[in-house]
Amino acid sequence: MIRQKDILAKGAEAIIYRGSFLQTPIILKHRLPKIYRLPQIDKTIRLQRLRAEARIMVLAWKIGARVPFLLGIDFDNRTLLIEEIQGEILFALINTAPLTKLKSIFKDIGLEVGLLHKNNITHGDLTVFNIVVNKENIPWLIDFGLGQISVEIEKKADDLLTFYSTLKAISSEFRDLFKLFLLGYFKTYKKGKKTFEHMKKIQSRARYIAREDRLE
Amino acid sequence: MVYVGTQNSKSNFLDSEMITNEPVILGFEGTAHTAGIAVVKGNKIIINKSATYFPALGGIHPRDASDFLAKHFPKLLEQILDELPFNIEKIDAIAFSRGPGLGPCLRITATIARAISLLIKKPLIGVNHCIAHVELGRMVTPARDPVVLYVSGGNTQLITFLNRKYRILGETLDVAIGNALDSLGRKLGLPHPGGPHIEQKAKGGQKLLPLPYAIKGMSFSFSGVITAAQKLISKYNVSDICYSFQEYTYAALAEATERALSCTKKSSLLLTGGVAANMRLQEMMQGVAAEQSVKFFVVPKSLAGDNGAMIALAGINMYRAKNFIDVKNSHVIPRWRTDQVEVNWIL
Repeated sequence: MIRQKDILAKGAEAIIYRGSFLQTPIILKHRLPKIYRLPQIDKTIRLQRLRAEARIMVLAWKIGARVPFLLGIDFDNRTLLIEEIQGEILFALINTAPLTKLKSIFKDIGLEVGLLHKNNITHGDLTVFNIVVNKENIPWLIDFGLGQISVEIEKKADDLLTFYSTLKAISSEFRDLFKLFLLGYFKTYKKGKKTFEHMKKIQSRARYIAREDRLE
Repeated sequence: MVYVGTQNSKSNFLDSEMITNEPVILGFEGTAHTAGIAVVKGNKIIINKSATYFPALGGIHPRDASDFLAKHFPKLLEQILDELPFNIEKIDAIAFSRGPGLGPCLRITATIARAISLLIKKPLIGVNHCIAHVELGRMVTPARDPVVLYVSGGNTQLITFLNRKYRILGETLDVAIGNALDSLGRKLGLPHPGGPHIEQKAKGGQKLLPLPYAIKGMSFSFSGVITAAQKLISKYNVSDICYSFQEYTYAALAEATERALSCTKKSSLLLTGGVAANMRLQEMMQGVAAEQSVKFFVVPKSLAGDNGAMIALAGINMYRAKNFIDVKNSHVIPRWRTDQVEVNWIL
């Protein structure tokens, strides 16, 4: 029933294989042991993340967030079977796509993240590498291995800060794009303003944050 | 009570090497605990001297550190001038650490650099300390366009060159790894700096104690790990705590680094900064490089910590790009972030 094909990508955590399941394209996400970590740490982390990712994908799907559908788990091989989202990684789009197109994408990302946070789901690694944009310019969130189910404002604010920092690292339009992201975010998440305030607090803990760099 | 550790190195400089057209730079490093002066020509370090301040109690006090720099820079400079194998006129420019760092220390360093620049009428180059650690790696190892893990007492950053700037892909959200090691060291009653002592103690560790694995995307945080480790002190032996602390914090660094490599698709990894001297961290980074099939480079141990040579070497690249500043505009920048620097010397 499942046909495994070629390697789609080798990420930091897992190898992603492309395959098919009842004629639908799927991906197989196989978490490999890491030689640099102690086996005890490695084992716990891989199992934790496999479970977290599966649990969160199901939950997020239930509340109607745009996340790929989880088809199955192979615990022995630390592998997830996931619906394939066809499209481009946001990182690849950000410096090539026209700004108007990006603007609507960023607002949509805000809507999605707001929806997750409203339901106490955090992504944990909300970078421009973990968002896939399909042909209709609709963003999908992927890779929930560091996600958590939590009411803690700190964890939600971490998502915003991670997103902001990676955005800042790669795009000169980061201020405008992040503003649009927030616009969407506040729309679906009423307490979003508080999360944003908390994000600034986390940001101020770090060293060498120039005054002009602090967000208003 | 302050005592001094000094480091000297001088290479055999041949007169024939003076004939080449490579620029000669005099570099001053003084951002926190180290007064360093070096003379380099091209990527060859001619003289590199430094003196490091070790607080007898607690951490670095900014005023004590700046007093230390003010006392040691003139002595070091005298030695440098004595040993200089050519006339001072041959120096093409003066480079100094302009930031980031402790304000009082930066001002001492800048004052000396400005004075020399005016005295010998050679241009002044303001170098970003963090970028100097990266440039050092690019000059003394074969790494050209790497993902850089810069680990030191004051900074922990994942840096890479993208869109005409050095970008911070991930960084510590609170304290730096070196700072965390110092802090844990103090709590365990080990001398300053904590890193080397913790590394030694960790070799005898056998039991892995539970600590947080603090990774947030490509960023990391260590303050919570220190608190958790502190709570173990009364119950477990020092070696096991050191061992567990290293394993957990370095594994988080390693994973973030692997993410950065996987995302940027760069073909080499460079480890730099004072904590780069740690063998366990080097071993883990080698593992990361192997996982992502990239080349791994680490700066030599003698150049891992703060030193004048890194400022002078960065100065070489900046000199070639005519990246000079006027003395009257050469104010120090204590909070100068890596990604604020206009990098005009890499195409």
